[in-house]
Amino acid sequence: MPENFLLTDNDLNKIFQNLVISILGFDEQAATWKAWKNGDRQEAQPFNPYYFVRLSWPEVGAPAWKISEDVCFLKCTESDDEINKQRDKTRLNVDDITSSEKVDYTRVITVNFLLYGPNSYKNSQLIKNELFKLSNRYILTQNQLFMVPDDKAPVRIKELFQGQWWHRTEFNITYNNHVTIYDEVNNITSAKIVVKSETSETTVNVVQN
Amino acid sequence: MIDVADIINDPDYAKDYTILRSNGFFDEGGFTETITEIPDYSAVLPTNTKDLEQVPEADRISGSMTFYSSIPLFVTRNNDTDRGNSDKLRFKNELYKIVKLLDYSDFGLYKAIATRISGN
Repeated sequence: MPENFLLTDNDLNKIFQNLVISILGFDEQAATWKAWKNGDRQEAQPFNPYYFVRLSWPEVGAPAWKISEDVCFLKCTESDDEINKQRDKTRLNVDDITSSEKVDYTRVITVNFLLYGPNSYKNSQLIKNELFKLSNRYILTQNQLFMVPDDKAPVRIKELFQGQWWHRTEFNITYNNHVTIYDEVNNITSAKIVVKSETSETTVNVVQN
Repeated sequence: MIDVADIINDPDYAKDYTILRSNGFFDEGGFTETITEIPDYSAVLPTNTKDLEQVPEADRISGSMTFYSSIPLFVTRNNDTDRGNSDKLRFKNELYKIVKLLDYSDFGLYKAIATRISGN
């Protein structure tokens, strides 16, 4: 049976986290960081792009950031829409006894980009513009994520925290996400049909050739 | 200056507990931490009641304890060389996370209010 294509929340987080890292120009640093992390860590810790592109809702908490640092936080959540109510079912024959059922549907994923730091607004423009580029959209389409071009302006509102106003810009982008799941179902290979009247009863066995 | 560490470490008040010190880094998928266990022996007192919260799904328990220590305690910190979450404190098989820290180190002690994180 073919494999399901159903991105988990972790898959979505990692896809967008790595894409934003790439958009911000941290590809090389990300590779260096991964090599250091997976190595013996004898050398000093290199620049870590994952410090600057993070996921919201860290389970056990996480250290914050400084007012001078440009940090992007991501949230990937599913949203309700007309399109997610439809499911297409296709029956695929596997053998005489079982069939594979293919179910296709579309989820609507909202990605929230929350940026802090002196360049938060500038970076919001950069990320947004890059997400519209065909090359970046291609990366997402490989994961069955298709941008919904319903563009809304970023919200730039500073935040007061401990006596200082922190730069803050936020925007959302929505994606349609095609999901495919497979299930194995048994075929009906024979049936016993009983026809009854008040006076008689006839049984017919129907068997698949 | 008065050093009150002797009082909080006095066997009349002190109890065994363990400091679980977090140290970690940001990574693909989130913050990854490693935990170092540091045994401590100092005064521990309840801060408030152990509360029962009845939600439709189950009974959830909250509460907090006050820990005194002559060993430096930390809330979440973000230094270039030392990055980690608030200390967790294991006392009588319950786990607490520091949410308030009073640095009385000039007098030889730290006072921490820690919230119960087991949830059940």
